[in-house]
Amino acid sequence: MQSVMLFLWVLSPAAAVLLEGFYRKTIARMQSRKGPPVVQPFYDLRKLWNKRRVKTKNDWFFLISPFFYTVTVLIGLLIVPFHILSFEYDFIFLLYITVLSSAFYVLAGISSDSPYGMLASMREMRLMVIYETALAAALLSFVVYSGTLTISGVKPLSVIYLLPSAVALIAVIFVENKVTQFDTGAAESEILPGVSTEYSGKALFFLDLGEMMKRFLFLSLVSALFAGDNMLFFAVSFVILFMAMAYSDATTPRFTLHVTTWYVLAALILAVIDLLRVIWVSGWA
Amino acid sequence: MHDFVMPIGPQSPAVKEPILLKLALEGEEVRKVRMVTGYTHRGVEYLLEGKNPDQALYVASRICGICSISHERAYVRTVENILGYDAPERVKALRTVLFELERMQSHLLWAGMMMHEIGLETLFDYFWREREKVLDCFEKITGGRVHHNINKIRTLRYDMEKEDPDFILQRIKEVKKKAREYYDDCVKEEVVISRLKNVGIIPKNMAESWGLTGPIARASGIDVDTRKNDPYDWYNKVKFKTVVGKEGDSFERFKVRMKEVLESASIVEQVLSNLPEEKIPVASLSRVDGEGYGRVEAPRGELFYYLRFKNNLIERAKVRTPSFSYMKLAEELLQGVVVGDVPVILASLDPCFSCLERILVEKNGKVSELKENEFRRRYACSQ
Repeated sequence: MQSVMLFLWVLSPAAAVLLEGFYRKTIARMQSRKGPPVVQPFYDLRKLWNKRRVKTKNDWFFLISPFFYTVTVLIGLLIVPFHILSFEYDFIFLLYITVLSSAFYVLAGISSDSPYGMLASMREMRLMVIYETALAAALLSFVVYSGTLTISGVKPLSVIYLLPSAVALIAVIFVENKVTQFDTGAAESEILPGVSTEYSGKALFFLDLGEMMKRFLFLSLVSALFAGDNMLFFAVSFVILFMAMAYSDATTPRFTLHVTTWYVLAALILAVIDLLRVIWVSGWA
Repeated sequence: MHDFVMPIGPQSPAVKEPILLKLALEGEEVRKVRMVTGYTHRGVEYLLEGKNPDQALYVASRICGICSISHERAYVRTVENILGYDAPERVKALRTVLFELERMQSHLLWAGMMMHEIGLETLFDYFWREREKVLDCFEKITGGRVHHNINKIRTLRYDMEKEDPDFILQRIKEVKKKAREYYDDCVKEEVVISRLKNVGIIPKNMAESWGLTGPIARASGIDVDTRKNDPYDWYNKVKFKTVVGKEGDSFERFKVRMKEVLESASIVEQVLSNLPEEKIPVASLSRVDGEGYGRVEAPRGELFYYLRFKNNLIERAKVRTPSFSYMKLAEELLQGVVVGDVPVILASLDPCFSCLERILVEKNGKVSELKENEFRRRYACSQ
């Protein structure tokens, strides 16, 4: 079983890229367009891989940040959805991994020395402080409620009792994956593509691949928390969240940073209150 | 300028035409703005000079890519004013139709752009799809979708075919229905309102002092419309109301423009249902001498032409485009706003830089103006 999971994990970047293809196709359908072929992201990434890299700065972080961004997300995929790494307190490890990936993303923007990248990083940092805390609180609620110490041990359908945490989690993944309404960190009309403005070639390949894998990771994480080890519920939750993301991306305008910050803050408050409730109910306190 | 300067443009998704905005930022807030223009200076007024009236028409129509009919019409109106010529009724009617179709496509294009700026890509697609229908009408009448070259001095290049009015009416009906639907959706959508409301407010007195015209002035509560104030073509024969707003913010400008689309559609319907049956005059070369001016209500406001002819050649041409009056206003409006509102304010003004650029201002130690003559000497043809 472990070897099968390992094999799936190796294939997971491809799955993430395919998911991106479906994402684009879904949005195109919502806009009554035909849309690109599902495998288009593969072509895009292949093109980037073969492109020459333009160095705007000889900074060490500028060179390595995109690569480590992708690697950290890939390590995150070991925990969810494949449960290859499953040990006590693995949820804390996962939190470290998500914070680390966000930190590398922010570093990539700052070290690129572009005003757009820097502004995007500043925005991301401001939001990151809040949404990573909200993610931690919501994740903890699920773990505490299930009385377990691993993510794989979360009780199936515990989401019914933890609705506020679930809402906070959904808000977090929307912000983290830059779904429109909350995509101030990559607002094209304001700051161009944001962090990736100065990147090209293989560095951009890693940044793009990292973003695609991040979407896959977070959809899997939230689905795993919602569904526990029930594969059917996992799939249903995954598809519903995926469609909700695409729907929000296609049909809503973007908030300004100020409003986004307030929304994320509301998610944080919700998650913390729910965590306190769960701790109270489960008798930990 | 502050330390952290973010340039917007000359090529940026926030500005659709080449212009450079240097924003000095403090966090997310804009502290100081400097606008640098001159990227699309083409020396158009010089190009007009020395041409005969029929040649210059083609240059005039290419001043703008979105409102080429307006420039053609303003030019033709000026020349016809000099000639003291009154066009036949059918020509006037068809010119009205073309003019209003242009207003519709320009406003729909703008609405799509506005939605793109606030991240609502779906409505961007939808608005532009409706615009395609208007462009189809243009293609049917003039053969061109962007540049039409349909106006000639005294007449039109082609008359409309018999089946064209039905085609246009049907298309306009579809556009009208959809435009109203999208308008209703937008004014109810909370997020759209939160992005546009109270952003880039131009109070009435400010609009007056800057000499604004067109939808921007009307959104600020000034009832100004060349079609009413100085009627030409069939504008005194059709019934339409000038859409005047109150608030003067981006949301009001959106509402005014969308309502104007519906008004334009109703004008087109009225004209096409009363189209006079007569033959239009055949285009012929003109001989013009003397000077005169003419103005029309372009989609962005009042478009003014001054022409002086000598020996049937243009001696001096002056084009005053509507965007000219609010070009510098943007600098004032952008002070103190957050970065997220910058594209919204810029887009809500709907500036057309390739229309307006007449003078280059160079900053080389001291500010100096590069006027047409100097531009001609340095960059353009060395005649």
